[in-house]
Amino acid sequence: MGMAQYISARIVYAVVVSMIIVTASFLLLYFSPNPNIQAAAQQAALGGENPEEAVERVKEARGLNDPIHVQYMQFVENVYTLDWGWSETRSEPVTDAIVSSFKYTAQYSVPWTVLSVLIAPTLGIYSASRMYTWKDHLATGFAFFGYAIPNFFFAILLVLVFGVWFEIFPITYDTTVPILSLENAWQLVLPVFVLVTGSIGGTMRVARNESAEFMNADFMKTAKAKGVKPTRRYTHHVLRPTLVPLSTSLVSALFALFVGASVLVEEVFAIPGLGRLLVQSIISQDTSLVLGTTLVFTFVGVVGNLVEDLVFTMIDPRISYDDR
Amino acid sequence: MSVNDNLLEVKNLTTEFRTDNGMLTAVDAVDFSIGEGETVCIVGESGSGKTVATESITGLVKEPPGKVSGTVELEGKDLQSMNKKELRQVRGDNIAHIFQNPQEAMNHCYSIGWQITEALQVHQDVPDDEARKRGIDLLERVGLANASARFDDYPHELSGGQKQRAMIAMALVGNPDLLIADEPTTALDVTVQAQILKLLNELQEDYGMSILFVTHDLGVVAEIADRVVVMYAGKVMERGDVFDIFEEPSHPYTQALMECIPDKGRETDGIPGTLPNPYNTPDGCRFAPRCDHANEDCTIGDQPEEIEIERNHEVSCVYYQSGYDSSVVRDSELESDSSSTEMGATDD
Amino acid sequence: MATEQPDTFDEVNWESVRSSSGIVNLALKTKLMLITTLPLLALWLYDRVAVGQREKTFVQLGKDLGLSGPFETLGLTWNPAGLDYIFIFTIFLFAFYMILPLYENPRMTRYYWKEFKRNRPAVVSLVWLAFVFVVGIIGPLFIDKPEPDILKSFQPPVYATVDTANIVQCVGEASGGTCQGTWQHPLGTTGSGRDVLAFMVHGTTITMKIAFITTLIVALIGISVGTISAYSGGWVDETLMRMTDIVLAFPTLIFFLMITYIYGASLGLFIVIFATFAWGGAARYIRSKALSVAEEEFIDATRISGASRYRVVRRHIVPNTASSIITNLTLLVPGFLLAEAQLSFLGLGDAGLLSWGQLIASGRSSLEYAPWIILAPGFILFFTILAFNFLGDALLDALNPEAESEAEK
Repeated sequence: MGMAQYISARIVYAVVVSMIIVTASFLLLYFSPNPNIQAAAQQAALGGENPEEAVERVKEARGLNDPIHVQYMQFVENVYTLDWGWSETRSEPVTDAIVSSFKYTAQYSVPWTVLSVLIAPTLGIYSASRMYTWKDHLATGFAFFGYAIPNFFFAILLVLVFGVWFEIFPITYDTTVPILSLENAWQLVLPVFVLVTGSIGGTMRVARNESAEFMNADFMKTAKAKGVKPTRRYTHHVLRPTLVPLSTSLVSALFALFVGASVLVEEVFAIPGLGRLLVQSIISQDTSLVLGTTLVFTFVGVVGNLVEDLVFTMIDPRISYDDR
Repeated sequence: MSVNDNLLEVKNLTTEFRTDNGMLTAVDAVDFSIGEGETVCIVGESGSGKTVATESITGLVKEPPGKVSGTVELEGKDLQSMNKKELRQVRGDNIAHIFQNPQEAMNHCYSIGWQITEALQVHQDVPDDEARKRGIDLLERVGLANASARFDDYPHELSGGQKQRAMIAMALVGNPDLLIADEPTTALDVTVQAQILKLLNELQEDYGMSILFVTHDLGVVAEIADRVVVMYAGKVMERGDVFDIFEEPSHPYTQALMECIPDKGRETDGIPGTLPNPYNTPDGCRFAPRCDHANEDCTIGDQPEEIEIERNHEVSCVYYQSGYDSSVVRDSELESDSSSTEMGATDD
Repeated sequence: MATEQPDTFDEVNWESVRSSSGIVNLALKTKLMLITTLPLLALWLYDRVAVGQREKTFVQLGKDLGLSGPFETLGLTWNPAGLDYIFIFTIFLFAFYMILPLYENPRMTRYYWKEFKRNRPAVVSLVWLAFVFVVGIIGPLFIDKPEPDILKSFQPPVYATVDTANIVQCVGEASGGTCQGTWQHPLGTTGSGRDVLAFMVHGTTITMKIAFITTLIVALIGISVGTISAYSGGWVDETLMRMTDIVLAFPTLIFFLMITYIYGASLGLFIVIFATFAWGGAARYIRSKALSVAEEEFIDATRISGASRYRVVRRHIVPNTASSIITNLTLLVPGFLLAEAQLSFLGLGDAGLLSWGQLIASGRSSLEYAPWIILAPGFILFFTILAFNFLGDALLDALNPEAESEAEK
C-alpha cells in the first residue's frame, strides 16, 4: 500500500467511525422519551386541551411519525449539513451557540496546546539526557504529579490557594474583558496551567523513556564525532525519532484532555466555553443543544485520531503502510 | 620512530568507567602514534579496549561514567586541554570516525544527504546548494551509483555496503587529516568487505589522510595496515611494522591470534580461556593466565615494559628481558606451525 | 492440584498432577470459588424472587428462616443490590485467583516480593491500596451511613474553626464568632450536615466497587477479544481489531453524558458504559502479547499434540499473558475513578450516591469557608490514583526487565 492509499484509507475509516457515532446518537434519541413531546402534552393538559392531540401535532410537525429510515436519513442529512436545530434554552440556533462558546474554549486551548507541545518533549529529553540525576527525578516527579492529580481537583486547589487565600488571580472568569488584554491573559493563567500540567505528565514520560533509547544510540556517537553540538544533537538527532511514538501520545493526550478535562476546568473557572455549554444543556434538558455539542466533541475526537495517524506517516520515513 | 613528524601522538591514555560494580579500566596507559598518510591498525579480540581507546582520542567516551586521562596530541596540539568548542572543530574537521555498524550509526529519520552535509552546515556554514553539490560529489567518489538521486534516500533504502560507503562520505566531508575506522567491515559480507577496504586504500591516497583502523581480523590487517598495535585487556602487547608482525609475531598473544587466522588450512579453536575480569586485572602480564609459557615472573608486578627487539618492533613480554631466553617463546611459534596440537597439550 | 506445593521441580508428584484433571480433583481455588459463589447466587435468586421491593433482604431472610431475633442482635439488616452481588463475586475471584495462588506458591511469592520491594513508592502504594481495600470492605460495617442533619451543617474538622455566620449551630465550642471543630466530626460535615469521614468511608466502598467490577468486565472482554483475535487470525482478527479501533476512538465520556441525559445517572450504568468502552487498549495489548507467545514453539507443540483450540488459549496463552493483563488493568483503574469523580463533580452523577466525587461536588459552592469538604476526599482520591499509577509502573518494570536494563546502559 502506498502512502496516498494509506491516507485515503484512514480518511474513509474516520468517516465510517463518525457515521457509527451519528447512528448511535440517532438510535439513542429515537428510542428515548422526547422531552419536547412531554412538555407539549403537559402544556396542553394545563391549558385544558387534549394532551394526546397536542402530542400528535408536535410529532407531525417534527416528522416523528415518519418511518424510522426516513427520520434517520433526515437526521444524517441535518448533521452533515450543519442544520443542528434550535436551542430552546438559549433561543438561538445550536450552531450559533456552539460558535460563540467555541470562542472561549479556543482562548485557553490555543496557549495550552502550544505550551504542551513545546514543554513536554523538551522536558522529557532534558530528563533523559540527565537520567537518574536529581534533575531527572525532579522532572519525572513533577510529571507524575501532573499526570495523577485529578485536573478538576488541582484546579480547585489553585483557586483556593491563589484565588481565595492569596487573592492573586480572579476566582471566576470575566467575559466582559477584551480578548486581547492583559486582564484576559491573567485570568487564563490558572486554567492553562492546570491543563498544561495535566497534559505534559504522560507525554513527558513517553518522551523521556523513548528518547532515552536514542540518547545512547550509535548515531548519537556519529553526530558527536561529526562535531555536532549537544543541543543540536538533542533537537535534531534525538527529537526526530522520539517524535514518532511521542506524537501519538501527545495528540491523544491533547484530545483526551480537550474532551474530558476542559469540561471540568471550564466548570471550575466558570468559562462559558463548549464544555460548559454541554453540561448546561444536559442539566437544562435541551436536546438539540446536547446533540450538537456532543457531535462537536465526537468529531473533534475522530479528527484527532485521523491527525494522529497522518502525523505518524510524516515523521517516520520507515513506516510500513501494510502493518497498520 | 621519530616523534616529530607524527600526526597524532597518544601517550599514557587511560580510560576508566565508574560502574555499579566499581571502577573498570578499559584502556590502561596506552601509547601509540600515527604518522602522516600512514595506516595504523589496532588489533585485539573483542573487549580488549580497542574501540574505547580510539573513542577516547576525540572524547567520544561519555563522561561520566567514563574518565579519560593521558595526553592526545594532534599536530602538537593537546586535545585533552581543548575546550568543548575547539574539540568539536577538531571532530568535524581534523578527525573523522566511521563505525562498525552503519545501520545503527545513521539516524533513520534523516536522509543520507542531510547526514553527510550536516558537518558542513555545522562547521563551515556552507550554503545549501553548495553543500548538496559536495555531498553528491562525495557519494560518487565513494562509489555509490546514481549519487544525485541517492542523496535524498533514507538509510533504510540502502544496503549494508552502500550505507558504509555513505558513512565514509560522511566522514570525508570535512577533509579530515585522520580517519578513525572502528571495525568498518565487520558487519559486512566478505565481498563487500574487500570493496570497502579497497575504497579506503584509494581514498587514503587521494586525500593523503592517515587512518587508524580497529579490527580483530588479521586478514584485514594484512590488506590495509602499515603498522600494527596489538592490544589485550587494555594494554599494548606488541607493536611493529605489519611485515615484522606477520613474519615474526613475538608476543605469545600475537602468536595465538595468528593461529586463529582460519585460512591456514586447519581447524582453529580460538584462544583457550577468556579475557581477564576488567574490574580486577591480574598482576603481571595480562595475558599470563592464558599463556602457555607463563612463569612466576609473568604474574607479578605490572605489565612488562615494552622491549624493542628490532627497529620499530616492540614486545611487552618478560621473555625478551635480559636474563631470559626469548627463544622459548620464539621457538614455540615455529613448533606450533608444524604441530598445532602441541599448544593444547601444554595447556592446563 | 495438590495443596502441598513441592519446593523443587523434581519433587513434583507427576502422578498426582496428572490425575488432578478429573472433576473430583478440582483445583482448590475452583472449589472455594464454587463453595462461596453458590450461596451468593442462591441469595441473589432469593432476593429477586422472594423479597419485595421495599423489604430489606436480610430482614426478610431472618423472618423466613425464623432467625429474626439473632439477626437483629447482630444488626443484620443489610439490603444488597444487584451491584453488591457482582462486587462480592469479584472479591471472591480476586481472593481465590490472585491472593490464594500467591499463598500456595511461597517460593514464587517471595521472589516477586523481593523484586517488588526494591521499588519504594510502589510498596507504599500497595500499602495504601490495601488500606483503602480494607476500609472499603469492612468500613461500612462499623460506620453508619452519614445522614443529613441541617442543624449540623458545615461543622469544621477537629482543630479547625469556621465563622459562625456560615453555620446554623455549633456542635463544639463557639467563641468570638468562630466555631471549633470536635472529635464528633473529625473531618467536619458537609453543607447538608453529613459527616465527612463517614461519607468518605462509604465512598471507599463505591471506589472499590468501581475498581473491581469494571476491571472484571474489562478483563473478560479484553482477554476474550485479544486472545481470540491473536489465535484465529484472518478475517476474525481483522474484524475484531477494527471493532477495537472504534471502541478506542469512541468518546466514552460524551457518550455517557448522552446516556445520562436520556436515562439518568446510576452507578451501575456508569460501570457498564465505561467498562464496555475501555477494553480496547487491553484487547490490543493482549493480542500483541498473545501473538508473541503464540509464536513460541511450545504452543505449536501443544497444538500438534492434539490440544483443542480452547485449551491452548485457556492453558497456555492466557497464563502467559497474565502479567501484562494485570499491569494493563492496574493502569486502567485510575481512569475510572477519575471519570466517576469528574461526572459527580459536574452534577451528572447519581446524586444519591455516597462517592468521593459526590462529596467533592457537595463542597463546591462552599469552597471559600468550608474547604475541608473538598480537600479531604480530593487528596484521598489523588493518593489512590497516584498509588494505582505507581503500582502499575512498578509492575511494568518488574515484568519487563529488558526495559530496565536498557535504561541503565
